[in-house]
Amino acid sequence: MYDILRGPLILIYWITFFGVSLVLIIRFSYLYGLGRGKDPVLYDNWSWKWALRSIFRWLIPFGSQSMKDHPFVTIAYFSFHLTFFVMLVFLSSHILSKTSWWGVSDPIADILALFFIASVVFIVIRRLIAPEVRIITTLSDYFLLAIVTILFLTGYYMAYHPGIELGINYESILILHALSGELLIVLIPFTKLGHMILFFFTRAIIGVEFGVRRGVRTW
Amino acid sequence: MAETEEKAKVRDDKPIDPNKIMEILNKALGARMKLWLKSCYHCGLCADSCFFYLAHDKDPKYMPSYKITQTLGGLYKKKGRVDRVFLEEAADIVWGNCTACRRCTLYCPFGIDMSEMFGIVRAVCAEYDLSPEALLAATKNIEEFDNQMAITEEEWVATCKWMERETADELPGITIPMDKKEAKTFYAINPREAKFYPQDIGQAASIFYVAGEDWTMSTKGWDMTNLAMFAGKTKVAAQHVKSTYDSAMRLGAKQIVISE
Repeated sequence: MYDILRGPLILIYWITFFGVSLVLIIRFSYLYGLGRGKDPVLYDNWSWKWALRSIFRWLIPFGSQSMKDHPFVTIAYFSFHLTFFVMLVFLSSHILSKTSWWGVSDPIADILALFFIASVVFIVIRRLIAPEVRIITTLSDYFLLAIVTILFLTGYYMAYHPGIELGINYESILILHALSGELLIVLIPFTKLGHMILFFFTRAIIGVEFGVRRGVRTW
Repeated sequence: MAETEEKAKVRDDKPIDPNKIMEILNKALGARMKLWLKSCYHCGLCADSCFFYLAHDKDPKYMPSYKITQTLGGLYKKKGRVDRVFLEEAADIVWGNCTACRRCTLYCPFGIDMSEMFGIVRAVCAEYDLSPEALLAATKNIEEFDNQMAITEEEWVATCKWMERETADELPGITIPMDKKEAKTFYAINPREAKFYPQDIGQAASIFYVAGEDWTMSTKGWDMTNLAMFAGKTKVAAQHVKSTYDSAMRLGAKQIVISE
């Protein structure tokens, strides 16, 4: 199984990754061309200072007024995104290369996974009961949350937990884990998952729009 | 609902052309609008920023993101194939439930500029003259008189002369320069001042005079408001701004200062 994972599956992963990257690059070239023709206001007033400040303030917890006004939402979404990122990049089990790399050990990973699940529960409940969120929530929002949750639960199951023994074949869980991860990558250009890239562009644009032209901050 | 349909029948003079609607949308949709349409993650943080939402006891129908889905979102999904009832309801939302204050933009994690998106819907509705009547009247005035209050050039010049005399009682020697070439500042005002509060013109003149500023008024392009923009009449709005800009260029002014 491990051989399959390291062989063909890794290859499929890379092909998907580059495929998705290519789609994104083509799309952004198109958007850049569109913007250059139609949006001279943005390009003529471009300022890295305002663009980066706008991005940075929304990347740090409670960096903006909106976050300060919604502390629970802020904590939930930061724990969601931070744990996802840390687990993805730094989890010891994800590091297949022989070269040393700073890794997160399993006990810490367990705590992070629980934080993640707790934040997903909060986000789903909020989507269901807060009327102002419920009214704009689409099926796709739940679908994406479901895939991410499957990704995490299968990952958590594979880490050795003596108390949890469902009697399911380890290999099927591993494949489910790999496939849900793969699906997330494939869906980036076609769903709201695109926000992981678009975020930096929209924040930069509005930072420049408000900052350079009016001298006001957007956080 | 029935009432709206009845109204629609009565006013159904100009057939709705999906191609025309898409033309307006595509013309306005630069890269950032495309990004914005894709970026909303439905987090709902914009709700609390909107005073329409707060003033209606947090009725979710008034939250900004939902208002977008009901207007621009609908136009997009249906590729412009909408009926007059849809446009009338959209007009109610974009003029009646949004002041384009941009507060939601500050509360949005992605900084989506919803007021600009509503502006496009206003332009679509304006194409079928669904803008509020007062704004349409103002737009007509702008087209005809170059200012929203239908003040003729003669009346405008006379008002400034009158204020010059009045203010001279207090500050002897004061002038309100009209069409002075190469002045540093071209001062443009809200036509309401000329029509209802002419003393404001005198007071502004006093400040310029006491401060020793080199300034001028202009016979053309002196209206710094742009109600055509709020009406969604983008062509008139652009022409109106150009009129002020052209005046500044014609006079050789270095800067345009506006009142209010």
